[in-house]
Order: sequence, then structure tokens, then C-alpha cells
Amino acid sequence: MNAKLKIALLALLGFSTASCASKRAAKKSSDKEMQKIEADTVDTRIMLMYGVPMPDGRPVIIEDEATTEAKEFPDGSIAKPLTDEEAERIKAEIRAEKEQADSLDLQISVMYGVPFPDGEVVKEIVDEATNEAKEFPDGSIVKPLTEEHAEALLEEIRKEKAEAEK
Amino acid sequence: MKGKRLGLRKWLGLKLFKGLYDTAVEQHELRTLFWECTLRCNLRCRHCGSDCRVDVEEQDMPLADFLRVLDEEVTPNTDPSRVLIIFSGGEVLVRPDLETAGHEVTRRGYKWGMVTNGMALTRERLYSLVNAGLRSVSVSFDGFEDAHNHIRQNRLSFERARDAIRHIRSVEGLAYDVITCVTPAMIDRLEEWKEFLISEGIERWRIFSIFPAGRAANDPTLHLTTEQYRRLMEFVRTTRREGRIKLNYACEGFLGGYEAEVRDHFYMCTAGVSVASIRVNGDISGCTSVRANYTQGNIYRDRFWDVWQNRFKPFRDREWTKKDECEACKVWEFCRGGGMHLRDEEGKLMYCHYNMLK
Repeated sequence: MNAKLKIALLALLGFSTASCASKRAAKKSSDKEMQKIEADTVDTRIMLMYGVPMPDGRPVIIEDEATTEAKEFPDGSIAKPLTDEEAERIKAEIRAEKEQADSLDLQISVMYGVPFPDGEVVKEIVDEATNEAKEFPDGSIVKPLTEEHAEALLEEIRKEKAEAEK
Repeated sequence: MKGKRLGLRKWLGLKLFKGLYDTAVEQHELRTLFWECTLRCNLRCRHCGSDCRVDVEEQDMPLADFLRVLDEEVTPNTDPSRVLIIFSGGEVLVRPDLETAGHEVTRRGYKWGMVTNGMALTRERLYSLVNAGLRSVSVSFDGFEDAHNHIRQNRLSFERARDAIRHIRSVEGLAYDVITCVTPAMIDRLEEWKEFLISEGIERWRIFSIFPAGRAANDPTLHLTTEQYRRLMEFVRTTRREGRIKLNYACEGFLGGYEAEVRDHFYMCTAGVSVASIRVNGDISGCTSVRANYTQGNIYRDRFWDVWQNRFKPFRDREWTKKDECEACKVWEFCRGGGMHLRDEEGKLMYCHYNMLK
């Protein structure tokens, strides 16, 4: 009787020794996978008296590591531990960024997923469009907008904005 | 209460598992390599199987000697990602070059772990070891303050072990468990102790009981009676069924009706089958709990891989254990004479867990 069959029968008998492996075996049937499963079944789960648990491959994360330890990078460089002042400065920057992001999030939720046009950006685009022709990759040229046309477009945008606010 | 008797389902399961065990023996793929890097220890525990002490005659093995074995013998013949290296002692933290050892082992593609009493495991040391590749750690924690400190013979040992476990828990992804050696002093307090461990957030717990080796051999107060042993088995079985903490009884011996109910697996002694050790003096053996002289070679005289492939006969073919009380035993085919650590220098069985279940 081969090992696969023994494992399957053990699972049928309800023994955890094999049931876990057999479930996996049902999904992955290549020989290479099966060899690994069989080896795992009879080895890695044996808890030795003075052994340690088998690491499960999860990434290991140390809390506050960046502020307490120097870290050596693969290129051999050493990151010096942060001073308290540097840490405070970084925290302040993060807080500022977070506040900015929070306000942006609020706008996004209000505007149904579209960032709120603040007028300045629109104006810049219009100014750029009106002042110079733009060459596209296919070689076509977009003619500059006239002042009147640009004003008309801005007026349309203002109306749309007003309607959206209502 | 269960006892020695095997039901039909379990008997069939054991028959099938026996075949898998034979395959494992035939393949003898090296999966765990202990490096007994020191015999020095910062404690002098009453139950120490290694009989370690603060000052030992045996010098620590130089790291370079161990790395030479890895580079010349183990790495060319194995897939390092499948071999777990366990630094053991003594108390491994007394070695100042443990981080270097960890870095070097990790650089070669091995995962490594260590067993510690926690006395010297400060937060800083732990982080330094994790940065050196530590991925698994087991801490000995034998009971409440009075019981733990009594066994460890140090009034700070409980507090230090508890703090060490708290530090370990702060490292996300680090595999760990807590090991309790159950003595008569703790047998009535196991429920309380379990609640304490759960309240500390501990998820994995391993229990073992004293076997008569090292210092423990001469202290009868550490040994459980038959009745206490049965209670211990019932406690482990019930706790596992509750599922609030993942508890396993260590690989001590065959347990009859308790097989597959107090451990995740059926009994199997993997010493010399998938587990090898390199002792502090260079001796090559099975797992470090085997204290009697079943040395198969020495790294300073022999090629490790040659020893692993071609020796280890007493570990892999255990017909020789079929003598004395094992000779007529009807479960020998499943037990194979018990763990190798339970055999003395003459091969005599020192302790039978199965017989404790009468």
C-alpha cells in the first residue's frame, strides 16, 4: 500500500495526523507536492521534547524596531537609529500628511468618488491650453483655445459645480 | 478515563501510521539539526536532563567548527530551507556570539530557533536575535512562581521567564511556545496554570514529565505517580478538546488509548530518523534528550554526512529494544521500545509511559 493511500485512510479514520495533509493532497496531486506532504505528515508535526515549533514562514515584525535598532541592509549600509528629535519631526510630517489625506477623503466621499476641482487647477489647464499648442504622440496638433472659448468652458464648469452642490 | 486499551479505529490508524514511519526511516531525511553550542547555564535546575551548570569542563564549540559541518556536509546534501537548526544548551544565551551564529546560519538559507529559560532574554537581546534570523523560540515555564523558582533554584527565574514570553509575543510572526515540565507540585494546579497562560495571551503550550536522566534521576520528588500521570493525560486530552490553547504532550513515549488525543500525531521517536544533533564536544547523535552514549561519530573525526547516511542503526532499526519488558509487549510494533532517551547505557528501558497507564 503506498503512502498516499495510507494517508487518505488515516484521514478517513479521522486522525488529524493525516487528515490535514489529505485535504491538501486532494487539491494538489503532483508527485513533487505529494512527496512534500508525506514528509510533512510524518516529520514536521512531531514536537520534539527539546525542540522548537516550526516557523510558519510569516514575516517577523518587531514593534518600534526602526527607532531602537540599527539595521543592516543587503548592500551593507547601516541605518543609524533615529534620534528623538528626528522621530518627532517624522511623526509631525506623518500627522500633517494624514490630516491632508483625511480632508481629501472627506471631499471624495462628498463628490461621489471624484476629487473636488478647486478652480486653480482647472484654470492652469485652461491657461496652458490657451497659450500653446500641444503635440501628441501621433503627431497631431491641438489648436490653442481662444479666450472666448476658454471662458465659455469655465462657465460650463461653474454651472456643473453649482448644480452638483444643490 | 482512557487507559492502555486501543480501540479498533485507533489500532487501524496505528497500523497505517506504522507504514509511514517505516518509510520515514528508510528515507531518513534530515529535517532537524540540534547544535548543542554550550553546556554552560545561568541556572541549576533540579530536573536538568543535561546536568548543566554554570562552570563546566567542556568548552563551548567554536562557531567556525559548526559552520564547517554545515558548509561541507549538510548544505551540499540537503535543501537548507527544509532543515530547522535548533541552538540548544545549556542555556544558549550565555554565548555572546549567538547573533553571529544566527546571521551565518540564516545566510546559508536555514531557519533557526532556540530553547531558553528566559533568564537573559531581554527585549533588546530578543530583537537583536530576531534581526539575526531567529524564527522560533521555546521558553521553559514550569508553573507558578513558587513551583517554577523551586525547580529552577532561582528566585528571579519566574519573573524573567514571564517577561521573556511577553517580549516574544510582541514580535509578530515569531513562532514560539511555552514548555512546562509537570511535577507533582503542579499536578493539582494545572487548571489554574492553564488559565494563567491563556490570560497571558499564550497560544501554544507543550507539556512533558520527568524522565530519569541527568540530575532528575536522583530526585524522586519530581516524578509523577501512576495516578498523577493518568490525571495529567486526562488534563491534556480535555484541554485539547476545549481548544482555548494549543496544547501538546511531548514525544515521550507510546500512550495506548491516549494516542492521537494528547498530541497532534501518533507516537514516533524521530531521533536518528529525521533528527540529528552535534554535541558540544563534536559528538554526532540523535536528539539532545538522548543522554546515554548512543554517539554515532564525531565531527572532528568523521564526515557528518557519511555518519548520517550510513550509521545510526540503533536509531533506525529498533529490533534490539525487544528485550526485557518489551520482549512480549503487544504494542511493541507501534512503540518500538519507546524513545531513545528512555534507554540507558546498556540499552535497558528506564521508564515506560505505556505502563504508567495501568
